[in-house]
This record gives sequence, C-alpha cells and structure tokens, in this order.
Amino acid sequence: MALDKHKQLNRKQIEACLKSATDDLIPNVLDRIDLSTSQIGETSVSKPVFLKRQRVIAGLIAACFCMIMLAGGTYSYQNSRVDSVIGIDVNPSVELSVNKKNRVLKAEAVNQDGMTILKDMDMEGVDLNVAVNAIIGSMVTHGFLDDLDNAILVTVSNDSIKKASNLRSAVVTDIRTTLEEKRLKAVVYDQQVIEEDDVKQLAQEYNISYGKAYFLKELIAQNSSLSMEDMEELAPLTMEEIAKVITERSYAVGAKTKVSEETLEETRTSIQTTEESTTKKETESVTETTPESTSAETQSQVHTEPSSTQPPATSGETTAAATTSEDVVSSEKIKIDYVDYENGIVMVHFKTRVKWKNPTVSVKDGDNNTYSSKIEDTDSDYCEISVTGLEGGREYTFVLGGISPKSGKQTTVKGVFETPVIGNGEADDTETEETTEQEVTKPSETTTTKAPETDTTVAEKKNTESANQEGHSVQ
Amino acid sequence: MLFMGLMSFGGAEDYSLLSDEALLKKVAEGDQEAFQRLYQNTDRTMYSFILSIIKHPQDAEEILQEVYLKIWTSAKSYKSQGKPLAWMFTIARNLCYMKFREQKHDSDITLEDLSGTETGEVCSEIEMAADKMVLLAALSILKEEEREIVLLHTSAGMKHREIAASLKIPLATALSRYNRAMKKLENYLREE
Repeated sequence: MALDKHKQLNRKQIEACLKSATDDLIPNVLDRIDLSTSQIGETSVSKPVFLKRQRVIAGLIAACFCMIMLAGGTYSYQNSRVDSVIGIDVNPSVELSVNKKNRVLKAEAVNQDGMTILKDMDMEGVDLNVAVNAIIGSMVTHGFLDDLDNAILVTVSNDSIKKASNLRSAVVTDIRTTLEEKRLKAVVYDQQVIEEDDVKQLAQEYNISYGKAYFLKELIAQNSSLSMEDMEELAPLTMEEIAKVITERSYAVGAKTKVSEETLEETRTSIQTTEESTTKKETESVTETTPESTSAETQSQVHTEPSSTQPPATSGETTAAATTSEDVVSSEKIKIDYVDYENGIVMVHFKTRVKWKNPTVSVKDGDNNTYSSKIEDTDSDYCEISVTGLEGGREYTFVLGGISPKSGKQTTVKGVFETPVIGNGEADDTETEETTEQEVTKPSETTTTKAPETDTTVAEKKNTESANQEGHSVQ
Repeated sequence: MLFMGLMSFGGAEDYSLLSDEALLKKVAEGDQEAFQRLYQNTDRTMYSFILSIIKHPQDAEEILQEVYLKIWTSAKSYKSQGKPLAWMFTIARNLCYMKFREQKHDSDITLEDLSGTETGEVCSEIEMAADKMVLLAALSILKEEEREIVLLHTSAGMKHREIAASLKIPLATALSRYNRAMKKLENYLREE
C-alpha cells in the first residue's frame, strides 16, 4: 500500500514527507548540554590557528620583503659599483669609472687639460661608448687632436682579463670610429692593467694618470737603455711626444700594450722621415737591434729599399706609365708577391692566400703625409687600392688592415710602391725589391732607405736583404 | 527588584528578536539564555544538516549534542562574518567526519544498516511509513552534497539563498543540485 502511494508522490509530497520524517526524528538535546562547561577563550581554540596562519603569512611577507631588498640592494650595488676604469691619455688625461653595464659612474680629469676636456660635460649614467665619443670629440674641439701626429693611450683596468680585453677592444673601436668620423689619424696604444701600488705611487709622484704611469713603467722595463730616471723626462710629455720618442729611439713597447694599425703606419713613417742615413749604417742598426726586439716580444719591422731607379722627373701629368714595385713582404704568414701601381690604383698580389674582414688601408709618403685611399677590391690573393693625390716618381707606403692569413690571426701588412715618373716612358720597368717584416706591436728598429741611383746601392741592397732576413720578430 | 525584573523581562524579549549572529555574540559572553534561544532557532537546521551527512538518526542525535556543546564552548572564537550558520555547519561537519573515523575503527557501517531489517528500529520515531521510506530513500540514493541541500530545504525550511550562503556555494549551484536531487528521488520512488 505504501508502495502504491510512493508511486504517486510528486515533488511537493516528497518534500512534505521529508519534513515530517525529520520532525519526528528531531531530538531535544538542549537539556543534555552541560552549560557549566567552561567556554574556551578566544586565544586558546581557533585563534591560535588563525594566529599561526597570520604568523606564517607575516613570515612569508617578511621573507619576500627581505628577498626584494636583497635583490634590489644587490642590483643597485652592482650598478653603483665601479667595475672597470678606462683611462684615456692624449695630453689631457681622463679616467672613466664604469659599472658592470658599462655606464659611466664617474668621469675624472687627471690633469689640467683633462679638466678643460671635461668642462661642462655631465657623463654620469651615460653609456661608455657615448662618453668616449664625447671625450674624443671634445679633444678635437679643443685642439688636442689635430691633423698632425696624434697618439692616444687607452688603459683598461678590470679584475677580469676577459672583460678587460673586451672592453679594451670596444673602447679602441669607439675611438677609431670617432677618429674616422673626424677624419683624423692617430696611434692608439691600448693596454689592460691591474692595480699595483707602486704604479699608483708613480702616478701620484709625477702627477700623471695611472695608465700613463703604467705605460711608462712598462716601457722602461722593456728597454734596457731606459731607467726610472728617464721617467722624469717622459712623464711630462704628451702621448704624441712619447710616441715620437718611442719611434725615434725605437723603443719596445711593453708586451702588454697593443698598438693599433695606425701606429704601425705612424711609427714606420716617422722612422722613414727621421732616419735618412746610409744603407750601411742602417744595416748595422738592424743587426744590432734584432735580438733586442726578439727579447722584448715586440714587433720588428724592417723595410729596406735598396735600389730604385728613378727616372728624371719631368712634367706633372700622371699617365698610365706604370711603375712596378716588387715587394716581398713577409708578415707572419702573409707574403706579398708584387705590387703594381697604375693610374691611382695600387694592385697588391699576395704569394700566400689571405682572408679579409673589414679591410682598411692607409697610404703615406716619406714625409708622413697621408693620402686618401680606399680598398676597391679584395680577393684571396689580391687586392686593389685606389689612391688619390699621389705625385709621380715617389715612394709610398701602404698598410693593409683587417687581413689575415688563411689560418691565423688578423694582422696588418705593409708594403711599398712607387709611382711612375710622369711623362717619361722610362719609368716603366722600375723595379724594387723590398722586404718588410712586421708584427703587431712596435718597431724595434726600422730602416728605410731612399737609395740614390748609384751602383753602390745595388751592393748595399744585398747587405740589407741579408740583414732583414735575420731581423725576424717574435710576438 | 522590580527594575531588575523588568530588565530581565526586557532582555528575554530582546532574545526573541535577536539574530543568530547577535545571539552567538551573547553566547560568547557566557549568556545561557542566548544559547537556549540559539538552540531553539537552529536545532532543526542543524539536525537536518547532521543527518544529511551522517545518515543515521541516532548518531545524528549524538552529534547534535556535541555540536551544541562545541558551539557553547567555542563561541568566543567565532569571528563575526554575518554567517553564524556557516560556522555552525563547519563544526557539525567536522564532528561528523570525526564520527566517521571512529566508526571506521569499530566497524564499517553501510547503507544496508539503514535500509535493512533494522530500518524499522532505526527510524522508529517516524510515525508515517511513507515519510520514513522517503527519508531513507533520500539518505541512500543521494550524494552528500545533494542530501545537505535537500534536507536543509525540506526539513529545516531554509531558503535556497540561505543554503547557498551557509554552504558557501553559488545560488545557482544550490538550485541545480536541489532540482537534480529531487528528480533523482522522484524517479527512484516511482520505480520502487
């Protein structure tokens, strides 16, 4: 019967049944509850749970805060900490302290000229390359860098050798770019240093920058003919003057110092102008200095031009009359087969295979005048340089940069060529043989001969050649 | 004396008007009268809720007693959030689960215990056979979450909105669960 009823149950009825059933069941337990049981204080039951949670949350917040503070602190510490110091010396000496991100924290003038350079410049927070650009620009504006011989010393001080070397190349590149923009040439010496107390003392004593002190100390250490007493003489000189002294007296630059491309050219050309002596003398000096250069681990650069048949110079027309200068240049591995000059185009043929990367070229004459030159074409055994403004019947030197042997480091290659004497076909068969040996740093002794057209020259040439072969270089 | 009498009379008057929330606050201060009032207000709801979980009327009775004792002792820990029932439900649910754990240790009580031969004894309090059948059906075929809603609505007379708030579920969920449960129950009872 009950089942029949159920079958007809609708929702309302079900609800009613449930209500009624529960009504019947609900007990009255109120009397059974012992209200004499003491109530638990707020703190003893659920508050501890809440408090515990609160404590955990507070702890977490504190931990997060600490982490943020620590991270933020470390970050700002890292950013405000001096990571490297870059010194730039021309005559004005400037030191830039940069942080890890290569942002300038401080720009300091080391001497009076430096103050002039940095006047009205706010370098703080500026990117290093921007700062370097501005400083070089300011040096040009103030006339410290001009069309004549320039020398810049870049000193990078960082605990990490790798970082220092990266920074060093970055700064040198920046300087070069800026110089190129200003159409200036300069010898750039760059060195990476570590802080030494005695060098610091030296710098203080002579009131020069740390970089310059280090450079001079290394210079003195590398050259037995120099002593610390010479420091007095060298310290007040500008970098340009120091560079001149180095090239004139053929000092070896410290092994830690690099001289960039222009240097080779500068040093070489300055030697060309200064040493106008007889071939014999030069030969002697080459043999003398070869051991020194080897020990000094620097570059030796020997250039002799024993014979050159100079036809009589006549008119000013630069015709296609070609002069062949046969250069045998032995760089570390790159050998120049011969060099041709024709109508403002220098064609260099290599004996060995070469690679190119951002090739550069510069052409100078014996008086150290630079000529506008450009690499027109490069190949694995050949390159073409266009030069303008050359006079006929003169000898010129070119330096190729961004060149490397098929397997090996990038280097520079130097060669000599002669322009034909204008208006006279006799010039056609002019031949010269030259040997140039070069490495990266500094010429220990260079000999250049503007040989007169005499028979003796031919004999002397042989001497020179033999001397040159001895004059090898070691990096 | 008269003043005191008036005061106490006035207080009694107040209690009937007070909300569960206010009563609970008074309970927290040790007010036994407030507690009694709270009991009267909520015993049906609490019993329905406990029964929906524990499914056994006798156990439910036991737990009901424990729950109110707990409410009395722990009233001070109640943080006023406008949902005194939700707090009370939490206490009830925890005690029910504790009971389950105890029972698990003793022996496993299954649905058969309720619907078997002893059913008559179990629900002897229910006068009408139909009521008993429907209740037992509800307790046996519905899921816990459905039982809670069904019993709270039908037996305790709570509105769906109140149920949703007390169980901390969305109103739509409460409604759909209720409808689903009732349909299930209808179908079941039709088949019986």
